[in-house]
Amino acid sequence: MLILKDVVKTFKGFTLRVDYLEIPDGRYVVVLGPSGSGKTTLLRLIAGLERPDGGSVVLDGRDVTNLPVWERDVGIVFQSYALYPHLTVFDNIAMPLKNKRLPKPEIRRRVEEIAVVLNIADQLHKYPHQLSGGQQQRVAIARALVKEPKVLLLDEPLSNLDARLRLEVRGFLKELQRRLHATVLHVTHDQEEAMALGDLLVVINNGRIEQVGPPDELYARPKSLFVFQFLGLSNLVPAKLVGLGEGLVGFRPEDVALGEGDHRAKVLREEYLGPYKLYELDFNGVRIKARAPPTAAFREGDVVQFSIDVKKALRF
Amino acid sequence: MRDKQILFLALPALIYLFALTVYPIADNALLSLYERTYEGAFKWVGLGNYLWLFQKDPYGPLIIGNTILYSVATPAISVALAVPIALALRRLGGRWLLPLMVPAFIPPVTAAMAWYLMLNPLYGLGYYLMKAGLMGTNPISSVWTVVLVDVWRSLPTAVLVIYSGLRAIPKAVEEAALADGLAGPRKFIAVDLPLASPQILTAFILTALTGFFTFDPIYIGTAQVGPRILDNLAYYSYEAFSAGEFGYSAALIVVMTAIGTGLSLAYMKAFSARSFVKLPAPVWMPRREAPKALHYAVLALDLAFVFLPLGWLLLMSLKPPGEIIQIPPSVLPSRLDLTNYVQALGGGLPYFLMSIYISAINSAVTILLAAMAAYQMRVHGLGGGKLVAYILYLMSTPTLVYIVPLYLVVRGLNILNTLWALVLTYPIMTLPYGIWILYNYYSSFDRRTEEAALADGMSRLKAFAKVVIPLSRSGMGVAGLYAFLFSWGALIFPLAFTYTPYNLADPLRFSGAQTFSIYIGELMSPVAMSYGGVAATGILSAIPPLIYLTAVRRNLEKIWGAG
Ligand SMILES: Nc1ncnc2c1ncn2[C@@H]1O[C@H](COP(=O)(O)OP(=O)(O)OP(=O)(O)O)[C@@H](O)[C@H]1O
Ligand SMILES: [Mg+2]
Repeated sequence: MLILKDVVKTFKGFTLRVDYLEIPDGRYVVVLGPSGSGKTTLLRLIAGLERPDGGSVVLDGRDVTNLPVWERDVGIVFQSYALYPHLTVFDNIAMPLKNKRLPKPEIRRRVEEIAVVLNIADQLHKYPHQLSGGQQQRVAIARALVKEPKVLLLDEPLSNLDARLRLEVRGFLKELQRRLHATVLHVTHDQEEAMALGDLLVVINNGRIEQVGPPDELYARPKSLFVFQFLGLSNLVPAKLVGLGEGLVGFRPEDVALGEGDHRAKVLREEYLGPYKLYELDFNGVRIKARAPPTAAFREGDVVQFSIDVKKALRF
Repeated sequence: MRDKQILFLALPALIYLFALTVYPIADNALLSLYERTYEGAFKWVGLGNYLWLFQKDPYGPLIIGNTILYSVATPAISVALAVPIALALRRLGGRWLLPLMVPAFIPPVTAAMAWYLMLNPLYGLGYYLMKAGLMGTNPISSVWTVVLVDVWRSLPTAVLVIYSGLRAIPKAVEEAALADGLAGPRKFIAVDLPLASPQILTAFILTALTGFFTFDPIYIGTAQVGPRILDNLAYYSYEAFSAGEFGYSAALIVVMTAIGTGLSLAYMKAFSARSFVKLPAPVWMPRREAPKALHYAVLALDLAFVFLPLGWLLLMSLKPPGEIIQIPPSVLPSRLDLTNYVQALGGGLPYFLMSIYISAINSAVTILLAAMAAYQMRVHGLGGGKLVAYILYLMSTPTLVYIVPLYLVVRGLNILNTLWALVLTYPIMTLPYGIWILYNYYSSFDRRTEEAALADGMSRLKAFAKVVIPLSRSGMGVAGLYAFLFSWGALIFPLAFTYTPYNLADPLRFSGAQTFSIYIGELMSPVAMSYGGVAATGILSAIPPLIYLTAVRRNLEKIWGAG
């Protein structure tokens, strides 16, 4: 188990502050936040590439705050893969083991083993520039995993891949984590990717952790307006408009039922998205989104009645 | 070719380069088979000149031995020193690069002269070095002094090239190395050195070329100790040339051209190579980072090495004449005295004027022709890779190669010993460099600016003059710096094509065209013994390039990647 306590890191004009964060073993944890929110910084603090100004990082009961990177039992996969261009795939993967002074046969055995897991066993003699982007990434993952780290750190591992490959690698990463029972910390700014992969999400904004929990919990019961709006599509209207008192009320498009109900709104725009349709409505001067079955036939300019699932509505 | 005007713009530079480089190289080969008789006629001797060099010439072994020493010791020492300096720069920041680069901007004759004055065993610091037993032999007559001067001159290039190689290592790879347990010296061996190996090789070849063709230190050294002690092939071929033995000189030059071409080809190969040397990850090596203090110490030593001879020169130039030749020598002047400067400006005026004329004219010509050619080469792909390779080749070929055939041309045109001889020949040394700098500069140039101008109805010529040139100012500034530097410090061409100082009595004829680099050589001879005057001349000669350097510093740092 990885624990961060009172960790603070300040750059000019930016502070990351983590009062307490616990990464349980064997889970796929995704750190999610907008650009510049401090995700990479958090990862680098755990890796040891950055030293915190205060606080401690504890891995399986051992305080690693001041240990060099290579003594921390963490594996890192860089966004650019960062393979050694002058070494073969085999030597790339073997590098961490060589520096641990393992005997040669043992190194060979472990490199070949991890290469099979990552499906690159037939690439071991090649040089990085002879590999495709996806293969290079697998080599980078193999190099991080071959030392059997307690945590695997991935910084935006899907951002350098094209859209098709992204879905494929996404599935592969999750399967790999399950098969090895590894603890993975995956950083991304893509909420869909985060929800699809994470057993646990850590939402971070402006250097502060907003909320930690399983994706369904964060989606249904966000603790802050930021989390509510960052995960999925959202509507936010003054509570008075829907007769719920003072303040603001938030609800998801799928919690709006079009066709009947106490409220009325004008259809501004329709989007056909295959399994469903998304309508944008003018509700007393506030724009809201509503989801409807693909067979729905409201036209632009129509005034429609609708209701909101009040049980699921959130107050802010 | 889509457009005749593209070719037209590039033509002046290309015609000039081909005419004045291909012809001399070919003519050398021909001349080397002849011997010039006392009557001035050429007599066919076949391979006689070559046989003479390797079998009969009593100086042959000395010349060849010196040449090998200069071309091996200079790069070996330069690169060995440059690696720790480049590491220190990477750790402490590129802003230290500029002062370290100063030797590359001092005229080579001045550099050599400053070292010889400083090491002088009677009147220089050499006196104290010999007294303390730090120096056994007289440095003035030692071949190692030539190596020392060449290391001083070529170290900046080596540092710059290797530093750029180290900086090109991606930050993520460095961090991945940390994660894999590579740090400090162990990472240096396993990652930095292999990944910078193409640049290290490049630096080695470039400095080897400097050592192989070295001329100025021998010219200055010989002025002090006499001939056939320090000579290498380059200097010896010049001596043969000035003794009128054109055939023998050409043969020596052909030998040098062949070896130099080999080095240049190796340079071009290293330059474009993407293959790295592989070194074992040495697990026994420590991972402790070298302390910052050590890096500072390395930089401080290099700064001392750079500025020691220049400082000595400055002190000397300010001494009253009576204190310059005295045993034991004084270090600080008893009072500041400008007599030396008065003497330098008095006697040196015609030389300085001529240097200023030719440097200004040649810089302007070079910038213009180079921009016209480089733009078409880069943006319109004129000439393709072959032309680029030829330009690179010319850059690494020294001007000495051309002197014999060009002398005959200049004499034939009846412009020997005039400004026009220099105007005609100087672009050979500056144009390739200028084209190369601007060729790289235009790689980031947006060709749509030209297309927009064409769409507005301008012709290509007009678009180039009105749109491209004004937008190339920073690149042309840097190209101009190098053109000025080479023109200002040139020695071989003025030695070969001029023999009297600029005749101020009839200034508009521009005849008599010796430059200050020749003046320095004349003052350095033990007969003249005008060490104060020569020191002042040296300081004066260093000022214009240093002013230019500070003026275009920002653009240079962009090119160096030090900003
Ligand atoms: N080494 C550094 N020096 C100075 N500022 C830094 C440094 N590293 C990060 N920052 C700043 O810290 C803030 C957070 O950066 P970080 O890279 O952690 O964001 P991120 O969430 O990973 O963003 P992105 O999604 O764009 O990668 C940014 O404002 C960045 O400018
Ligand atoms: Mg980031």
